[in-house]
Amino acid sequence: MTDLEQRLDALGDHLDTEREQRTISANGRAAMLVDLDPQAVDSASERRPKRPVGSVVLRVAAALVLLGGVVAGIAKFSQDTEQRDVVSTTPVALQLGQGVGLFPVGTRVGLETPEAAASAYLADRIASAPAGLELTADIGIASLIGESRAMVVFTLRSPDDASDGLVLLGRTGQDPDAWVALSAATIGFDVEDITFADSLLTATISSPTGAVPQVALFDAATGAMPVPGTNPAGGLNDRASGVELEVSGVAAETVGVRLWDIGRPESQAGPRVNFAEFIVADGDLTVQAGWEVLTSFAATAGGPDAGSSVADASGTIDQGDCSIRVRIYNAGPAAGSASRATVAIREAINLDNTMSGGPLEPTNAAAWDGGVAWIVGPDATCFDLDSLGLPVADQVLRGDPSQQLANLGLDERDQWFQDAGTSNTVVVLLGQRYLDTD
Amino acid sequence: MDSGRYALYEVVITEHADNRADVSALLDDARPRLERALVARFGIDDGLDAAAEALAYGVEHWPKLSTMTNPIGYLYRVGDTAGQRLRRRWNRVAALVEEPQSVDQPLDVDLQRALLKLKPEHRVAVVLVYAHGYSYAEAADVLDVPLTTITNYLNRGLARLRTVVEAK
Repeated sequence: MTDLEQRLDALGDHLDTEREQRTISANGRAAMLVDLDPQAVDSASERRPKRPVGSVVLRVAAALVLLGGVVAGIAKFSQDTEQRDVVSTTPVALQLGQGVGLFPVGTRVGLETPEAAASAYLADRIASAPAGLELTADIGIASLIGESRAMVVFTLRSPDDASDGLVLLGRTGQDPDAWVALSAATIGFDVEDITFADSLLTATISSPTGAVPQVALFDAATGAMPVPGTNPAGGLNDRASGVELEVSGVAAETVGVRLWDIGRPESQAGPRVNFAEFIVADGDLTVQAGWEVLTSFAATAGGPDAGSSVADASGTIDQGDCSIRVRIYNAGPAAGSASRATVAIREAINLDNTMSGGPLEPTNAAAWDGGVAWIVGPDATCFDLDSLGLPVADQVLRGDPSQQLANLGLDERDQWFQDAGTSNTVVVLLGQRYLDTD
Repeated sequence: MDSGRYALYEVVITEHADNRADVSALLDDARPRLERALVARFGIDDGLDAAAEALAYGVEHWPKLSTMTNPIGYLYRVGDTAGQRLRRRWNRVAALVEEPQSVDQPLDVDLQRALLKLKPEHRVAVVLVYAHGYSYAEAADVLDVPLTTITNYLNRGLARLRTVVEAK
């Protein structure tokens, strides 16, 4: 046992001692109930704090299901006016007070379809992107989640960079066709520990580049900026565990928080066009923000029980007695490459009755100056990889993924690499010289 | 603070008097796991309060919870949400146990501070496995994540912890 492990072990004992010092046993509590005065129960019941409701179920499977829609239908648009016609769907009147979305702003209108709302939303956002950032966006078809939510895959693209992402949309009014955007994030852009109370907004932000994002707050009901000029210099401190957002004096009941992470210009590694946005109401406990939450989103209305209807979350692919995991990493410049390759794998599995399951969520990676590499874990060699329809490999490396990454000149300690220590994983790296023919 | 914490249990458990044995079993099984995880997440005070709210929620929603495959993982998320609401940044903890009741001074303050520099999920995983001796599978159950995710949390969390501790 190392010195650090010994210290952790001792700390564990200390934490348990402190815990027990401050609590009484559950059995003791149960026994106490026998003699509990009913009046005291009634009285205490009135004082009971309001409980969190509508907790979000986080299921990793969602991204795999949702990304399945990418290939089926891609709509392209950009800041160009002509191409934005696709988003000019007629707004549908909503009931006042039925809800607030990021886009369209306020409670009065929504758009007829999730795709239309996603298109309009992204067009609006890239039109107001940070100076010097010339963007276009592609979107896929919507995947419906329950009756009132939908997710749409998108790709943000600049002349030399791109990132995939997801938009969560909601049907907020009584009209069944009225959709608004509720949250969005590109791969790896995460927002955690969100609190908004007493005009103070806090959150922890982590981005794929580790850069400090530009942040802007908007009153979600009016579109006004309750904190004019909010920016990293005014509201953010770079911290070891991420970027701490802390903004006081927010004069709105519900705010939209918009984050642009355009990376560190001096670094050429990894994706540099990253975006996230979410909406939070005063006291809201169920904020859906950031990539991880969006990809894991399965059902808000049904709670965990609804998760049973979601596709297999394990990310394993079975063939006879052989079980493997496959993840595609986009380490090149072509947006959506990893997503498309992942969809191709899913289709191959669906068409082949000797296989079942699905691939892991695709992800962006640090830039790699290569074509296509497969890194096949030592326990994944039992699988007929040719049947999966993987991108054709220039190099096939077998053995410990961490070691093989090092052989490619990459470091497994890089934040993007998620599969260290998994012996049955097949890592597929799409590098700078990968030609995406889609 | 403590008396309020327990009053909450007492109230909700009476609402399911018919299932008292099952509910008590839930408390016995879930309580230490939730408390350990949420103390690692939020510190001793907010962590215990968050665990209390999660357990109260679980007992009150017992019929729904009893059908779940991983009720502990669900309750951890409830507690996580509650803890975020309880915590205020202007009163952020500097150690998991700032004012110990069992000893005169906080123990291994450097290690506690180093742990707080980890991402929350990494910290919870590291504390559950290395401080409390949980298996990877047990920790994965509490956090309701796949085994591979816990492995990632531990690899990254421990690496980061070593870096921070060695930099002291």
